[in-house]
Amino acid sequence: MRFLVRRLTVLVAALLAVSFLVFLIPYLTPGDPTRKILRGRVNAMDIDPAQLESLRAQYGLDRPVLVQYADWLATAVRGDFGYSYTSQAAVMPQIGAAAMVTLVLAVGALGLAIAVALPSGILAAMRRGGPVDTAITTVTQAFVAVPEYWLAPLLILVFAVKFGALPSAGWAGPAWMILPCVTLALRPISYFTQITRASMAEVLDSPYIVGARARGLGYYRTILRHGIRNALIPVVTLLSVWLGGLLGGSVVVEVIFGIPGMGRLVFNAVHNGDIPMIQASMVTIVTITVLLATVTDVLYTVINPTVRGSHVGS
Amino acid sequence: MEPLLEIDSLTVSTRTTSKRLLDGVSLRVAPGEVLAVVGESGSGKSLTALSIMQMLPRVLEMSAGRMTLAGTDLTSLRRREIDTLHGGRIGMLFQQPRRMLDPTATVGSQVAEPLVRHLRMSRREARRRVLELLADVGIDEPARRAQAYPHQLSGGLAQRVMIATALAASPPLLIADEPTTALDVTVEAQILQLLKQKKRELGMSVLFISHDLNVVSSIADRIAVMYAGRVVEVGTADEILTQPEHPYTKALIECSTLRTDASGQLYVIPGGSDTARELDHGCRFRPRCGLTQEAHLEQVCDAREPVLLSIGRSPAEHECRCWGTAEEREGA
Ligand SMILES: Nc1ncnc2c1ncn2[C@@H]1O[C@H](COP(=O)(O)OP(=O)(O)O)[C@@H](O)[C@H]1O
Ligand code: SF4
Ligand SMILES: [Mg+2]
Repeated sequence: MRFLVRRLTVLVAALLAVSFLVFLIPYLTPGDPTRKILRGRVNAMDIDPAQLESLRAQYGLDRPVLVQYADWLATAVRGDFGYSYTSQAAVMPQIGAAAMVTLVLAVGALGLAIAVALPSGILAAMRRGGPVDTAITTVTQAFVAVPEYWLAPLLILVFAVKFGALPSAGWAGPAWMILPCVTLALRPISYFTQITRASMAEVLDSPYIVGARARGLGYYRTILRHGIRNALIPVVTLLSVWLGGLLGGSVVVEVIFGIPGMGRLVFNAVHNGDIPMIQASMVTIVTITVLLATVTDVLYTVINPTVRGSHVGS
Repeated sequence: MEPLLEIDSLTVSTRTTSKRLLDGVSLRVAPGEVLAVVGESGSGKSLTALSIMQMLPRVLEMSAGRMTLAGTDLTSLRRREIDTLHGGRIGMLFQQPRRMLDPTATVGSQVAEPLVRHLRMSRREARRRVLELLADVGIDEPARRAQAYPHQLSGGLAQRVMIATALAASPPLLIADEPTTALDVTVEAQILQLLKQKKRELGMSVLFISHDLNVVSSIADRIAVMYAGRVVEVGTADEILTQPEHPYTKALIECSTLRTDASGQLYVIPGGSDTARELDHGCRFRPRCGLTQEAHLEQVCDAREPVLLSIGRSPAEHECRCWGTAEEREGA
């Protein structure tokens, strides 16, 4: 419980720090900050110089910066980051929709990666040095070298263009997920297989496996009850690091497959200098990343009792 | 009496280089008997234990020998039968008890495993029995300890847990591989006491492995001394402790008595045993043996490896593998 409180404090502090930087973006970028801020608030292409002074007073931009920040934060917490310069629509609903798409994509890719990598890593470790191990290790090591911008067009050519089995681009249902997820999953499959294999191999050599077998559990029951859980402890930690990575790393895949996700959204916002959109997406991305890290830590504590509780007895 | 465990000419080698780590080890343990196996680190005590358990590391193989437990051949067991052997017919204790327990599982769940596996108890029955077993090995507040994780136990408590687990299914044989070596002296005495008590209650045979003759002297009925993968002397505890014949055994006894003199300095037998297995002729103890000069044995000790000869009043009472001893006896 104390642990949870500590984690949440860190989480809030990190978010505050980031939000302050994000708030400063109009001041740190070239051009008149007042105009930039007002554009996002009143939803206008530009501000009429005649109205500038009254608007400045109306939106409190004549007050000290810290007061403005508190004000901005209070609005932001309610999900109001103003209007996009380009679409002239409220920023947050667009980000919500895009983030959802990216999350589905990343979770799909990660799920696929886990489903493939954990069993192959465990199997490779159990058959260390044998042909199965060699095959799994060779293939997954080769996967690391395959870049998304190379694999994606290849998959599109084979499965969409040649066989017509799957859609080549867009985001209209489960079938549209398959090729992007496979593309995104390839690298994590490679890493997770290797990590799982190394972790499992170490566990299989550890004394408590000998101990469990000496109690009569037998090879497979020992692996099921005492091997896999221990082997997954380091893997779980890396999983959410990767989910964070996948959220950011999906830019290329979203652009190639024409997927309306966060990657494409941020890409366009930066390209267009759309400050409200940039601010809102940065806060969203950081929030998600920090939340993920917290969830990982909690998960790690649940799975690994040696990091919780204190020593008892002599 | 028919031996419970009989090992005949056990030889263990590395698969790749065929280096012999154990060379013709023969041991017998009678029902209810405590056989201690002593020898300095690296002499092959743990490998002997693992061979009996059919748990040799994959890089090693048993290249010769026979092993029977109550008449069953252990070397031809099927995988399933080996699982029944572990904990069911042979319980095992280790030098590092805490490291033998899964750090992510509660103590109670691990003590329960042999109950479910070997005694076919339901989980509920097992949970209740675990508390009795923990109390039986002198653990206070068994309910709280059962909930604990291994890292929350001291070495002594962990070894008590291991004893409870190893004896849960009342196996006829307990192999204890240096069960007190990692513990401090007072805890060591308590654990030895507990083992003797369990031995009295359950009447099982014990193969007690230690590098320390002092520890062994209070518990052993018979003692086998190992050197460089061979048994060099074996006999009743009385004979070995009071009338040792092999120069290596004599040196071991010297070490242990000197140590009890509390001189602080540990007496160590001069020389190392690392390369002893590489000697391809003669006695393996030869480079460290003081007897060769005294008795003018160099030639014979250098030329031929001594054989294990019976030197006691009865064949099983005392056997020794040394030319010097043999000559002395013949001369007398
Ligand atoms: N897996 C292994 N591979 C190669 N040599 C080993 C292995 N395990 C043990 N040995 C060697 O076998 C010898 C006996 O080891 P061990 O039985 O553990 O000795 P003890 O228990 O008497 O200290 C040692 O010289 C050790 O180096
Ligand atoms: S056989 Fe020779 S070298 Fe070996 S212990 Fe006896 S006297 Fe020493
Ligand atoms: Mg050992």
